[in-house]
Amino acid sequence: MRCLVLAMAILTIFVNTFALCDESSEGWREEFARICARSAEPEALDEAELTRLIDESEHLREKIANSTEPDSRVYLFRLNKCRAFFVFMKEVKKKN
Amino acid sequence: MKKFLMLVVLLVFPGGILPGPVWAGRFWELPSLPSPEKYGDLLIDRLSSANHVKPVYFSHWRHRTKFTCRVCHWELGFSFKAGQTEITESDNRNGQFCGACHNGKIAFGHNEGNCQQCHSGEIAPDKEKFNLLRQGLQKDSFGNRINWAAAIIAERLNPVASIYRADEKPMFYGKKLELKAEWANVPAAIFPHEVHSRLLDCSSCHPDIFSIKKKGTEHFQMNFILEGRFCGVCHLSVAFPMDDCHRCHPGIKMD
Repeated sequence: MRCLVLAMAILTIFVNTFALCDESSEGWREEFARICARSAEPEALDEAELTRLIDESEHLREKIANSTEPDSRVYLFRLNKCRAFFVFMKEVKKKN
Repeated sequence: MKKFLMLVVLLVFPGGILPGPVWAGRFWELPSLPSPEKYGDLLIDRLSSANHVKPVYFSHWRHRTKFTCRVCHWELGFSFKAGQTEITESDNRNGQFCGACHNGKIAFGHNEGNCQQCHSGEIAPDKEKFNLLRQGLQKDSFGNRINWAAAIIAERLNPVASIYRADEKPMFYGKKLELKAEWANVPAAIFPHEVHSRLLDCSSCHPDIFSIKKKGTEHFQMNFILEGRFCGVCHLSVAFPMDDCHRCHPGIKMD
């Protein structure tokens, strides 16, 4: 009986840990998709939105950089490109 | 010296006495072109030789029939410059870079028997396959001698914009830029965003390749482009080469 309880406890911890990892990874992927999707509509973004997107990109960059997922490096590459584009567009809008 | 003499000739005979634009085309030392089936093909050897395996042969034309540029150069994280991206066997086996497709499901996988398919160490395209492909597509005068943009617009080719999202459509941005040339008798270059946005994302070019925020040619000089900057990132080695003056300067008459 004691073994069964112990086994159940270990299983619960394992399942919860796995779920947490999965959730955090899913989290940044969704956030990435939401932020980078905005780079396809540059003319619709005003300066305030661009500033917000730049801030969000920076925040997300830390999350992805700390991830151990094998594809995090590629996501970081893409996020950096999106962020740089938002900065570029903000300068364009300011100039115009 | 040659450039200087040509410049003197152009200055002495201004305003169309000589066929200026055509002279301008011949004035630049354009890189020599390989045969059409080899244009855009390359060897990737950032890590291979150092690890005692042959460099990887990559054929752009084989891949661009199925995928837009953004798939590899944005989704998969390949730099535009060959050899800049570190690609390891472990990355590939984890589904990154080439391994995103070369997994035994979409395309041949990273199995022992397949090493030679990529690690061949030589640029050796399948000429028969290339000629067969070319037969069905719009022709061009230089590079692969295939007008890739026309083939996509005519829907003879339908390369996918994403390997992760089946519903991903290329974005549409149609603004045309007119870039006035510095020489009086050279017509302006026209940059069509539309055809580029069918193949790439805005962030593929801005700001890494084009960070200029105003129209003008002072930064887009041909000598910079021939060094592989600006348009030269793609239009020296993969996209139609710069021998085709009138593709960018439509006012130029080719003889």
